[in-house]
Amino acid sequence: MNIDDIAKTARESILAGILSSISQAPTGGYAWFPGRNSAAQTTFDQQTVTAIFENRSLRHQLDEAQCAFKKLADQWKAETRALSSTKIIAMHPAYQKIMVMGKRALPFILNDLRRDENHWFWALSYIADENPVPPESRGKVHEMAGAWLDWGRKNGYV
Amino acid sequence: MSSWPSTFTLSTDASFQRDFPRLRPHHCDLNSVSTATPNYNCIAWAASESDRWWEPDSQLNYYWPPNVVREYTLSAYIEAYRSLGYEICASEALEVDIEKVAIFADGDWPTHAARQLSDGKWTTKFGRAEDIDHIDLNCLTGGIYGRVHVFMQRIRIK
Repeated sequence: MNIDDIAKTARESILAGILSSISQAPTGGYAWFPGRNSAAQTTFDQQTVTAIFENRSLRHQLDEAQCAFKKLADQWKAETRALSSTKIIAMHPAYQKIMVMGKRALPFILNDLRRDENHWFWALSYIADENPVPPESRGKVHEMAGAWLDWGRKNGYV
Repeated sequence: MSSWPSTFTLSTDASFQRDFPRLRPHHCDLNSVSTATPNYNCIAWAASESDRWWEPDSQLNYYWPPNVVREYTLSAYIEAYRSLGYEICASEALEVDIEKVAIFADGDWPTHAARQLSDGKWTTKFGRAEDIDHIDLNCLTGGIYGRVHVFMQRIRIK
């Protein structure tokens, strides 16, 4: 799931809340029409305004998180290419900052893993507190990435 | 004076000179550069594997030979190569029908492994970057790989 998908899901969720409020309005679907029912109109307007601001705020927060993640990921990838131990690679300050983001980072990590199969496995197993990679796939990066992307889909992160 | 080929992308990294202060193009077979890949590391490459990443991580993400203790110590890495038929030997000198590996370490922390080719050159995989053949081991010392601590050998498999 990329940033647009996340934002789309958030918008749909908020829209569902708006539609729900419309269906509960006493005017039976005319709540948005000015003058039809002032009580329902007031309820709808408040929710609309709230939704718009929440949506903008959420989108802004997601954009910020996405930018922060990309900056850290690019730095980590560029500065650890010659290292052969993922334990050391994962100690890089940028990687540590991503791990500190916790579950908020999972959609970004999994999206990056889908595009660029890289060594996110330390962070993934730390954040998720589980490891879906079967023993026969250990070390096989393509298969490991596949196992984590399947896990992400099952758990709603992809 | 030769320069690094564009295929050796590691040489363009900002930290390359600091990480490998002695490594120069004339130390290397510039036609031997592979494609950069995160699919295997130097430990696997020295063991003649290029389809999985070897590492004794406690999270069980990566491949490590069965029945070898999963720890980042020289003794564990020696045991890993011993499981493939290697035994500790005295020197890096080229011997007929003998294949050697050199294990680098920083203190007791293994950092790198290289494998000797039948023509006397050595081959190294740099972390998630390229692998390349080089004329000796000294060119890799003094930086992030530390120095060679152990040589091991086995009958060369033809």
